[in-house]
Amino acid sequence: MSKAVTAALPWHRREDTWAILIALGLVLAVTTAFFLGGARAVSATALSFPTWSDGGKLLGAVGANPLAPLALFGTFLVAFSVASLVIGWDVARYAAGFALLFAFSIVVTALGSNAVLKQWQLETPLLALAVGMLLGNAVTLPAWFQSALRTEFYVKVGIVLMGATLPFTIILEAGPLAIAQATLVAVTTFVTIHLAATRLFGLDPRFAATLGAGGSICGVSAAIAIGGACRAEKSHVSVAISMVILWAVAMIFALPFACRALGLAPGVAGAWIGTSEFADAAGFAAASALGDERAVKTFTLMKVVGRDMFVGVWALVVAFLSVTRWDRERAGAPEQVGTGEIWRRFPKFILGFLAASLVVTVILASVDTGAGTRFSKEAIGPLKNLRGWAFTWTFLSIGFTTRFRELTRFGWRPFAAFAVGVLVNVPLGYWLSTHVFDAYWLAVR
Amino acid sequence: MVDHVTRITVDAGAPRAAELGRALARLGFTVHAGRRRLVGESSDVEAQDAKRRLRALGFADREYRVFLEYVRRWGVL
Repeated sequence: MSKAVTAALPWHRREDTWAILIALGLVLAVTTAFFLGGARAVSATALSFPTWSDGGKLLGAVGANPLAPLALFGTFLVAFSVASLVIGWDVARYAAGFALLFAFSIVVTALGSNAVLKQWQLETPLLALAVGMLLGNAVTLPAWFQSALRTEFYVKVGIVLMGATLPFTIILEAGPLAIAQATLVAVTTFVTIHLAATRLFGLDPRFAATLGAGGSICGVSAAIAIGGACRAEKSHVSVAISMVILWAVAMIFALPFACRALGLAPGVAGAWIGTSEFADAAGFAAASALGDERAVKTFTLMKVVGRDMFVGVWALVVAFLSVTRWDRERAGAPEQVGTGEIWRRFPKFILGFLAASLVVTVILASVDTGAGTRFSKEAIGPLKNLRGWAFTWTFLSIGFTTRFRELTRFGWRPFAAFAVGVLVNVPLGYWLSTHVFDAYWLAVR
Repeated sequence: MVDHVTRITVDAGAPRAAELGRALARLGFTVHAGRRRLVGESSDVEAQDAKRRLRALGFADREYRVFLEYVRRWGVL
């Protein structure tokens, strides 16, 4: 695929569109099956493993529903293959790669359900990352397998499915709070990194803005959006991405460890991870590693609602600063910046997340209590399970595609500027989550 | 880690629209002339470089708009 085609894709060939279509399609299919009395058919695809300490229990669970792995694989293979076909990926290579990725996900999920590994805090998310990193850095992966390692695609499917498990009322209640906390941290971190980069280390202001965005707004997506908005050089965007990946991967292990060591409640821990992790996929890995649904919920509220949603607004502000201050080499009227920048840079998959939440909330509000309880168990339960699988493919893809050797090609100055931001971001996020807004995060169920 | 497209748009009714279109084509842009806008796209020329070269050719910043889109390459987190 040519570079121009990749970048200037129409809406129906964009990853976001297909993540929304697949995840909302699953929500509608599960809902329809529930109301038509086909809940049992749905649960057939929602493969899960019980906590086990002897192999007999695990084999017994698989034997009780032997078609579940096939049903799960078939459902996602068909959905992802159709997406691949329209987006323009090589479908045959992708399908072969996805089959192997699926096999890995079965193995790490089964191992992650082991009682001993759980005791060591080595549950599925961290295990998937560790297995991926180990193999990805030790052996050369075949190209057909690499074509299935679509971290962003899987995390977007997972986030939209997450919407179906998060009532819209919670988003409305906690949203403004998440936005307030996220804005405080994002502005402080962005300004810190920008000042450190330009004043202390003499970097170009556009490079500094790209680094600042990566460290404060929403990781790689922000570095790409803000790098484009302020016309940063391509090499600078690549360095900012390396910084984000390096720190994000370190935080996947460090933040859950710190949350446990500090004895934080799951809701508060999720909010801290949502404030201080640098990338969505990495943050979901860190929040999931805590093994409590409340941590994943507050993480999502902080990261998706509080931070990701505003990347377009940041892009507009930075584009304006770029043309009026950083880019004016001579007198005369500057280039125009349109408010269309906000929509162009807006991460569209968030619309799917909100739509999924709204659909499920309306359904729950329009049925009686008994039916609502059954819907939560027989429809939302399997959706949670499918979301878990999408995130497992995400974590495996992060591991397989994180090549440490490729991440070390940067100078010490951008690293130092980013590190200063981390030193501000992490303690500030901790303080806001545990002392200022803690009551709200504790109330999220 | 990223690919890019630099897109420069010019209002079709602007006084020097045709001249700008020719300049963009010379700089290596693929130029499409629409009824309302003229659009030049390149995945080789970087935005800052395009702007520098347009300035050197005597075009003012106000005469066009630059939109730079980066797209992450396969596998990037």
